[in-house]
Amino acid sequence: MIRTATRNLLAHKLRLVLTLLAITLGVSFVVGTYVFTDSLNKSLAQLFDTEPADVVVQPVDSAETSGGGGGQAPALTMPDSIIKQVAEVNGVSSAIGSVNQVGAIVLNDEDESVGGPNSTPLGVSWEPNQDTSQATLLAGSAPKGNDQVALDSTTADKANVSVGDTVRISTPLKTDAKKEWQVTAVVDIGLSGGVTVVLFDLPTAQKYLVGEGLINQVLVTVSDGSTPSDVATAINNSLDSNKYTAITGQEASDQQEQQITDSLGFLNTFLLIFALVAVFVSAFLIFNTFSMLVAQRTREIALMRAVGASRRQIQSGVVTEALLLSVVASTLGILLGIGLAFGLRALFDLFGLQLPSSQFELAPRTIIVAYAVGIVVTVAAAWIPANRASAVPPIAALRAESSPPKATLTRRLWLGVATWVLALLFIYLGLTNGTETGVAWIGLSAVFGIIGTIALTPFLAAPALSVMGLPFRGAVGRLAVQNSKRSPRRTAATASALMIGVSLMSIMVVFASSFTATADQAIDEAYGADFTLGSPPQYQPFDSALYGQVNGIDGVGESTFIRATTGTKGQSTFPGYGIDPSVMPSMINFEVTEGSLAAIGPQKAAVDTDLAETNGWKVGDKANVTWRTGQSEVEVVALYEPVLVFTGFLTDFATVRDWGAPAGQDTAIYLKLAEGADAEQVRTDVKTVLDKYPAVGIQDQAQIKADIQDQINQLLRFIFALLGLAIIIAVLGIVNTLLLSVVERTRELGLLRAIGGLRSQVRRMIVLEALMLGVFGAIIGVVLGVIYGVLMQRSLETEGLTTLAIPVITLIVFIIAGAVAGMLAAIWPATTASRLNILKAISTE
Amino acid sequence: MSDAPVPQPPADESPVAAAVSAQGLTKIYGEGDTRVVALDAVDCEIGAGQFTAVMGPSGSGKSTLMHCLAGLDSITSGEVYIGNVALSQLNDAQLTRLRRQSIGFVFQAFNLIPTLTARENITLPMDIAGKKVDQEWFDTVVQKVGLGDRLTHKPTELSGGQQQRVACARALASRPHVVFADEPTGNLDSRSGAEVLEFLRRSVDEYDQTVVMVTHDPVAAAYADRVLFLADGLIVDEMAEPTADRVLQRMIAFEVARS
Repeated sequence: MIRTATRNLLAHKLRLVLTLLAITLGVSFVVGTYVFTDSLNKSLAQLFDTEPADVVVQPVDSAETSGGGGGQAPALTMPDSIIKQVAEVNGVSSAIGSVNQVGAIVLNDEDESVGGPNSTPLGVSWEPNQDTSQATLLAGSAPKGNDQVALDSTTADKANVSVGDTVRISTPLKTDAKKEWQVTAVVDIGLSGGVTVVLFDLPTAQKYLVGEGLINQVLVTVSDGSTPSDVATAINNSLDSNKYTAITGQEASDQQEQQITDSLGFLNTFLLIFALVAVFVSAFLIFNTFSMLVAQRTREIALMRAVGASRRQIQSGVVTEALLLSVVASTLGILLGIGLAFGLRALFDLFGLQLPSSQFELAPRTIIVAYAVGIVVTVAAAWIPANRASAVPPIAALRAESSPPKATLTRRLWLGVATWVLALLFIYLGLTNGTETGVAWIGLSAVFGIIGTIALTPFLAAPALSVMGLPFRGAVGRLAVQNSKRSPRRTAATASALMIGVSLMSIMVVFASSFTATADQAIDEAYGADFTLGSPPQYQPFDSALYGQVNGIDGVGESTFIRATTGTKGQSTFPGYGIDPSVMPSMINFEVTEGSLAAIGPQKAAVDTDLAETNGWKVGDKANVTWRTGQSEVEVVALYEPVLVFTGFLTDFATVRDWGAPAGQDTAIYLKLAEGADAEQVRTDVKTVLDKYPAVGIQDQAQIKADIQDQINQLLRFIFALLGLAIIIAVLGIVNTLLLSVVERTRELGLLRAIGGLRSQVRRMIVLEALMLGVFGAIIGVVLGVIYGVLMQRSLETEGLTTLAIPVITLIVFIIAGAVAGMLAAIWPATTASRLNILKAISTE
Repeated sequence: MSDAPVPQPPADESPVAAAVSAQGLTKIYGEGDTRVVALDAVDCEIGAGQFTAVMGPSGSGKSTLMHCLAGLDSITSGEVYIGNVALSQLNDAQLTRLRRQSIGFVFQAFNLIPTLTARENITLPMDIAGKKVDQEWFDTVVQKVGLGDRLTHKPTELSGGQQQRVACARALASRPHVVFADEPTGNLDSRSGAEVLEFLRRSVDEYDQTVVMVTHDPVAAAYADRVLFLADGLIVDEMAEPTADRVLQRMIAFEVARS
């Protein structure tokens, strides 16, 4: 049986290549995803493998928001007198201060961060002890004093400098910015993507990053004979436990790793969903291809049955063939997948999402899953049609004019209808349940909706093709339409593969447009300021001296600034803003539903209505909130509707300082133009001031909108790049289907040529068939995508996604792209068809 | 779709007596050891308005002769003329246009496009040429082949004989210069076969159609005006006003001579 199987495989090289390609692509995406995420996790694990010190002492961050490598909130500080206190504790061998702050930006010639706009610019203090330091010296010597820095190697590469060169760096505190610094060392700090790292000696780091006399951490080495945990306990006992805490180095690195893994966890899930989509689509392609191949061989199978082969033998023959093929293809898929993992990494880099990538990991699990997917799908795809074919009595099959047994579609109709009934039920649940479970129901419904639609496409195919064929007059067009309608099942399967990708893309664009439209509308309604100054996207705080400088500019009317911190209550984390209640409402149109913003003051705050509802707070209540600096009782004096970035607590500046907002640093400045002032002149003047604050930008309404649009578009492009693979597999499916149908129709094509069909006409016929397939798949995908995009928006309406926007032009582009994809897929089959030798074709059996 | 100028064969009333002719027509397959001479410098003329049968044992080259005459196969040397058009001068597209305008085909089997109805199959050559169907002539042909009530049927809904009659109707519908039939009755029972042959005969008698038919059946050959006998790639004999008996005897004589 193995011999017949291998012979069969080699006898049809074309089929072999196509099927192989289908399995290989599917498997490669699974492997690529796994390798990518595993390597990422391993890189992260290695990154936090080294402990910063035996024991770390740091301020208590009650809200637990301190970012390890690049969180949003700045790290809390404490006076450096703590170092001395710690050093005196029993078991401490040495204690040194450490500074670790966001905001040291290495500038390029355009005064932008060399790491790109989305990178986190870390500034840290140089740790003299190389044994405990996380930075490994690669070249040069430690930086000393006000003019020297060390750079991490990736940052140095990006800035294109080496030891001895100078760089310009903007720092959060001393914003006599763009100061030139001499690079005395290049170090490896293990954080390769998404951050830039500058190292200063401790006094300089204090002066330029957190403020003189302040530090973020004390790094402790324990003396021989002491254990880190004992020393940590001893330190905790000697310090004010409300303000400071000592943890072992192990705990510290675990915490950091946990934070980063948490923030990247979505990425793994996200990629696996795309891998699943790709597997699903490739399974489709494999299944479809094998069905066609086996159906073609019905007569051959019948002949074997007639000469005495049992059903079991036929089946095992086909299965052996599938096994051989899938093992080879899966192996190729694993190799291709490894390449793909590197491609994904490049893709992330391209979209500014740089990730640590020092490690490469091909886990045994990856290989097992790859073979399992490749082999199971292929064998199932081969066995089902073989079973069908071998069930036909041999004589009946031999007599039939090469027409495979047509399984009835009734079961499929019921399956499709039943699946859709479930999908509709889930939609009902999604729209009647609360937001959080609602979205999940809609998502589940989308899965069922897509599967149900796949089951129903054969029934849609004939009428849809008739309509689509209307513009194609003439014999060639009619032939193309008839050919596409010939096997609704095959047409449906081929178009479905494309449909899946297109529907997901359509959901994404509807969702994205609605998001942008909602944001635009909110800005139109609520934004009263003419200019906002800040450092998006993370809104790192900047020196409040800036406010005084822009406030004095000619043409600036009202102006105000905000400061921010973070608080928690139960499961929810929210910001706390310090505002000036007399000016702020003219910048942002707060819709106060109860109480008054003017009433905010010491430990008195306005709370957004959602947060208030979740926690049952009413005006006059005391809210017990944990801020970064500890718990406090806050009196609720007003309720307001969440607007733009403003959610959570609004209070006065002194109170927000109390809650952990960094001293002397603002999060944003809002400006209004004075009457008759020239907006462009003001902008230019503000920009001149901002020269000294490279991290801070100025934006008007239109720019804020464009910014949001840009961020959404970037995310969309990224998702499209991932979905692109599913589309490629689908296009390959069209190629496959067409090629096989050309092979099946050899005699017919020969006849067409004999009675006067030109080569160009044959070519055009095949291209039209492909075009209809592509458009058919794209249209169903777009329709399905719009339905679920709208449902997503509806279910998120209470969550703030209030405006529905359907990007009609983009969706039309999808359909046109479907047509183009179809035509591209037709190139090979059409050429094959038009080059058939007429006489050979006519005499084909 | 605009057709490039195609060399037009002379109309039926042209003074040239031969509708199709071959001069020194040679067809060689393969090279070296596998070299086979299928046609060896054949000269022949097919009379306009005549029903010509080409006979010969398997491997005699009769099908190859027909394929070369009909422009379906390339020739090694010599020349074939459809009317006054020399086929070796034409490229693939010109040849294709010549086929659809000037030649009708009836093959042994699988003559029809399965997705099209009988009517659509009949008008297909004109449809792909983008020409209007001559409705009156179409009705005449359909009536002659006796398919009036079957025009909307798909090929799978027709019997073998009906399918061949649809093919005949298609071959004639565009009023071709010449109709080539390759064993048109090979797959049919004798009654259905007779119907097809009678139709071809009548098209010659009533409409002056030129018909060339390849067959190995003496009964079928007897419908023709003239029979060409082929053996080993050469025309070895011909017979006017054939009857089935005389053709059969002639064939037997060949077999004896060869053995």
